[in-house]
Amino acid sequence: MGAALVVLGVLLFLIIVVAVYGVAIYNRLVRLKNRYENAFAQIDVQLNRRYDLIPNLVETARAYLKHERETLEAVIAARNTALAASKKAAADPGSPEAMKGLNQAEGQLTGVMSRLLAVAENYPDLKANQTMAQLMEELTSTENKVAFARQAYNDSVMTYNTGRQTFPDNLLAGPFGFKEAVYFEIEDKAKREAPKVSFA
Amino acid sequence: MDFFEHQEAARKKSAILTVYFSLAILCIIAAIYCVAVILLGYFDDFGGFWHPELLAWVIGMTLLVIFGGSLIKMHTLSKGGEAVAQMLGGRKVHPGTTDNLEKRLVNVVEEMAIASGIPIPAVYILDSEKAINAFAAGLGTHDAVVAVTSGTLAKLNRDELQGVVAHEFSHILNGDMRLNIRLMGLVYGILVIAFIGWQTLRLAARSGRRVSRNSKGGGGAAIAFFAMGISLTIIGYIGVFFGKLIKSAVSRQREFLADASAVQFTRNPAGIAGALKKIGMEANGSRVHNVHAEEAGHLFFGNALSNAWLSALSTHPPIAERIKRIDASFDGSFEKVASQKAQSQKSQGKKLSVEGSKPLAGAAAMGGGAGLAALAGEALAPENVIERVGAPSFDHVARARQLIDAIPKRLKDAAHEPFGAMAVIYCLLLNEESEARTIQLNHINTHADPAVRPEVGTLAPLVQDLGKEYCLPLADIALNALRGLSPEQYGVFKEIVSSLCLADKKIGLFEFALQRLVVQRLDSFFGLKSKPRIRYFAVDQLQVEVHLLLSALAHQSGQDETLAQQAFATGLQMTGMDYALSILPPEKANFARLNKALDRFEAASPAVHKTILAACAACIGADKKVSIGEAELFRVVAEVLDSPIPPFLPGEFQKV
Repeated sequence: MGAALVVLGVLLFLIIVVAVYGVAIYNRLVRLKNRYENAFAQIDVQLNRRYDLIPNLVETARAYLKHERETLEAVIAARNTALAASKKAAADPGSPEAMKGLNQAEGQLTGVMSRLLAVAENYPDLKANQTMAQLMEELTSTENKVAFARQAYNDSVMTYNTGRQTFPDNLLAGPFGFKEAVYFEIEDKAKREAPKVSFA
Repeated sequence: MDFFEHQEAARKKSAILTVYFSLAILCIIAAIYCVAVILLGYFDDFGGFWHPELLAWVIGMTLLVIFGGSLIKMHTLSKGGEAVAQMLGGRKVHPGTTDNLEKRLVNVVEEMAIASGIPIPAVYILDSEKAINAFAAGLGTHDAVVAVTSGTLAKLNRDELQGVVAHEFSHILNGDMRLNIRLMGLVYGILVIAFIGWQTLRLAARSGRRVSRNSKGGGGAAIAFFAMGISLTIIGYIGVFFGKLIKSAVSRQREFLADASAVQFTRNPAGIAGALKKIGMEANGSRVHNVHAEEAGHLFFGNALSNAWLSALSTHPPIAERIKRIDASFDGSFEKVASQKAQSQKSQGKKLSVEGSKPLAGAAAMGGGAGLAALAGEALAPENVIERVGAPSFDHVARARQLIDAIPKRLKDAAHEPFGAMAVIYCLLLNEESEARTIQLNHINTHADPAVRPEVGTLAPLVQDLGKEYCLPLADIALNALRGLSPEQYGVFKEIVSSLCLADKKIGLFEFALQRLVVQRLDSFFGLKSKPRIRYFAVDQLQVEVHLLLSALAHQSGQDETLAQQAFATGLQMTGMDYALSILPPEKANFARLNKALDRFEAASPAVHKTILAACAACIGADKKVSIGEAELFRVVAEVLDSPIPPFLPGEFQKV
């Protein structure tokens, strides 16, 4: 009787030690996951501000850019797609499908926006418009904030992914559904630069 | 009882809890032993009652499970308030949120934090909870979190919301939180047995069903499982019973205290009474459905659990009694209140007040010379200062609102999100002298993210025009948003802050204060520094550091040698140390050394903090004049000493 009890005791002790350690690892993964989800929420705030600015911009420019209707409509269409993609991503930050959709949509929007600005260069009246200048300044400022928030998000995704892959955390990642998170990157590398146009 | 005595009392309370807790463990061990003897007797023809081997085994295993459970829980909770908020399903609110209801909540929390002199807590919302409830959690003022349910946001008006937030702040300021979190960890250990029992029962039920269908052989095992499950559950409920007892012993009195403090902060009993009445009217009241509500019940504003069968086990006093203590005219019935509310809401219409709606009563105007000096002298009289720690009043809340409103919107908006907040801090560190300023701006150009430079360019003139008394509140807001940086971004930011301070080859008072604040708050948030254990219990052990601190403060008053020496002596006298020390010369009492001294102060006990704080107050107040610079340095020192000081009211300092 005595021996059996001792063996059982040691076994239980080991189980508890492993359990405590396991919980610590699990908590760490949860914390890292929460961190990148929070970081995404921050990008979302800035993205939404950008999506709100763009229709105003288009309306202001419309009167001057009478012959550039397709460009303006392309901007609105790209903006709507990006808005939808961002809502999907906000519901499940870091998931491959949602993030791919967002990366693509944002890349397209940036591309279309720079085309609009290039076109607007040819219209000095538009450049002189006060409202337009103000909106452009806000847009640039918002895009800086998006870039900054994006950097923070990507940093946290990297920390999470690394954490998830190292031993012994990787033993728990699979069974508990900690999937690899995807970065937020503008897809077309050439268009990654925010257009620098001055409306002085 | 002042703030420091509250803190000591909270620590001593743990002693009572340990007694209850040990009692619980003894009962559980006894119960398990009896069950084990009975079960084994049934199976193995176990003779007699006394089996020392078995007893030892039962004791060992029970203690293991209980402490294992507590350890796991405490480890989870050691990460601070955010861990608790996330455990209960909270979603973090971005300080720059555009949702009106969330914005209103953020404004209320900011106001209260600046009024209390603590860092602005992170704000969380429990989206899936529709009842009215809230909680504050954290290990201390540096990692505090305030959370409300979505029901609270939707159903309370601004005054009532402010009452609830004020109640939670009083928990933060009374040092309840650390105790509450410890409690959660400990009690979890004795709840674990009940959980194990539940799981065993479920397992037994499932396997029992299978066995009864197939054969009769395994019937015995299933029965044993079943019996074990039931007994473990019953035993576990002993744990639950004691758990509830312990929690209610701690939390019930505090709820009345917190309600009273809330009335004191807001000077508006209708606010918190209104919130309580609304809870009383709702069918679900303040019920929280999250699975972890049982463990965290004592943290909440209202009773988060279904009404206990024994009122002594409830974590909160009855709602009617709480309301009566605040609003004597309350007669205990909620129907009349319902019709009143319906009427007032119709007249109010759908107007949503995001900013403060109450006129700023009590915001004192700047007085003239003599009156000023008298107020300043009074404000810094050590007894008054000590009394004021952790005890903001309505005047301070009004003052906080005034300070926040006076900051230009452009600056506030920038400070509410990480990128702009960085720029704001850089602007606050820019020197007024153009030569040093140019050096600093060049440094920003070369080392910071290229997009920061234009932002700094836009905000710098606004910051330059900002009156000195608005700078720390603005920094408070910015430091809150800076928690949204990634650890890597924080590293870069910290570097730049440090080089901006060194750029002009000498550190000014404000720069020192701001840099210390940045490091103090954000280092601990990013896990670069943890709260040191208390090592110094007598002020004598820190005489070198106190000597340094008082010398630095005395020199700050900008007076000549003799007066500085006098101020130093006044401060020293307050500490009760009667070594013949004289003031250190300015080169020796420099800010670099002061930083190290402040680090040591962090490891001192609340009683020592109180003494040092009183000494600083005496030193600064010795010349009966307080400049804003001195006031700010004092507040930074107070923060390092874990002693939240409300902002100085306009008459209490003079613009030098």
